[in-house]
Amino acid sequence: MMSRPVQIFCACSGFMLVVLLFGGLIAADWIPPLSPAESADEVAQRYADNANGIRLGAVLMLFGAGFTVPLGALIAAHIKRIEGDFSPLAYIQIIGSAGGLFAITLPVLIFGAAAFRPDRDPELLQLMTDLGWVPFIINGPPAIMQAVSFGVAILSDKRENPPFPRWLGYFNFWAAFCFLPAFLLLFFKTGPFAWNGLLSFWLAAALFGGWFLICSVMLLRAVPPAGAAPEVRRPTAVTSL
Amino acid sequence: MTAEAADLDRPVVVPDPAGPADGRRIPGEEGLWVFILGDMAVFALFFGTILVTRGQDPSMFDAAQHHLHPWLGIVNTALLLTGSLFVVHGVRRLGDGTPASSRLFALTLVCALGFAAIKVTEYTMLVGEGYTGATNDFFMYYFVFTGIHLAHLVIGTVIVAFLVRVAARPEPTAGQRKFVECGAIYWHMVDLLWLVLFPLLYLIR
Repeated sequence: MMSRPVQIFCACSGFMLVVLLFGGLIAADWIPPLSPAESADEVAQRYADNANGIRLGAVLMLFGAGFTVPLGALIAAHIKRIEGDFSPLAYIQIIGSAGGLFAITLPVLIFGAAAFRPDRDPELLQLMTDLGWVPFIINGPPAIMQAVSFGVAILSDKRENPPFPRWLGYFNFWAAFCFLPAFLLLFFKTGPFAWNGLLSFWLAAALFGGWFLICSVMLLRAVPPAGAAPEVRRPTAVTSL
Repeated sequence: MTAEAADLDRPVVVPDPAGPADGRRIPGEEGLWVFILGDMAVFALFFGTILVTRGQDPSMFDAAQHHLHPWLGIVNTALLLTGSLFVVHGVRRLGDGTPASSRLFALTLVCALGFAAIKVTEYTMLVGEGYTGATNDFFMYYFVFTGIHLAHLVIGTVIVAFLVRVAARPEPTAGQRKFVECGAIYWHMVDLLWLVLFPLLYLIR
């Protein structure tokens, strides 16, 4: 099948995203994340101590964000096979994936710009940190759209040998649910709902990374073996895929 | 004992043609339990959060707790448990040729709507008395966690409304039976989560 290497590349991009995103966070010394309760001077000290780490982290995370695209595109292609010609779920997946790219890219660019001049006024550095961390953690809806559209598609797959197990559909719903508590971070500077808290950060980050890893593994398993006969197209399947 | 005989011994009369022949089978479908157990694990984190926060300032928690309305909570607990009882019997009588199953799910629906109405009443009373999420940590967690639970209940209400329709069919298909079981499991989870949340917020001393 022509697209086999492409499928393998797309499926593996979830691994790349996790390595680069969490690698970037570690390089920036943001695992565990800084607390929203830190004073402007404490925040400024972090940039002074580790400007190059934050710059490197921003670059790593920027490229990590790019890998949301091939993964989302491969999922969308699978969804389109399930849905056939009329495929709103596939479009939700594509747009959600684009939103996910934005959700990671925007805060990372701000982190990079903040670390570009670490000797700036501490108040301004704190403002940029807020501008980065708040959207970075709160921006779950694109990922929720991706997870829910993939989950609905898996559970509605009526083909004889579906490429994905049904538990993956339910797992997608659960992941979407776990991204929800993060929206509370606007109301807290300490505790489990703060942007560095158990429920807003650790649960959401674990499930976000876990979602990409599990999707990657399951998409790899769904790649047809080399030399396999191409799938017989159903009458409704779209030929432009 | 043959597989058929083992099948007859099962307490719940919901045969699953796709199930394993030894009579052991997972209610609903396997995959659903990924969601159920995952969701309950997240609620376990919520419960831990309440206990840890309480441990940091028990006197504030005790003082704030007195402003809740335990009787409304007790009535709501009774409503959810009664709803669960209706669900159990609704699943048992599914497809027995009478409208009983559908009616039992309709009674569950009444319990669910009653719970939601009482919850909203209690929120309104608390806000009227001057207690909001901004009052202190206790009320913040009270509103957030009961709110997340209420969102689960609303989803459950929509599911039970579908169960009323599906159960009205004289001969439900295997797929419809599975759907009814999955919906019933979800309802029981909503009930179970409240059974922990209620004492943690209203009763613990």
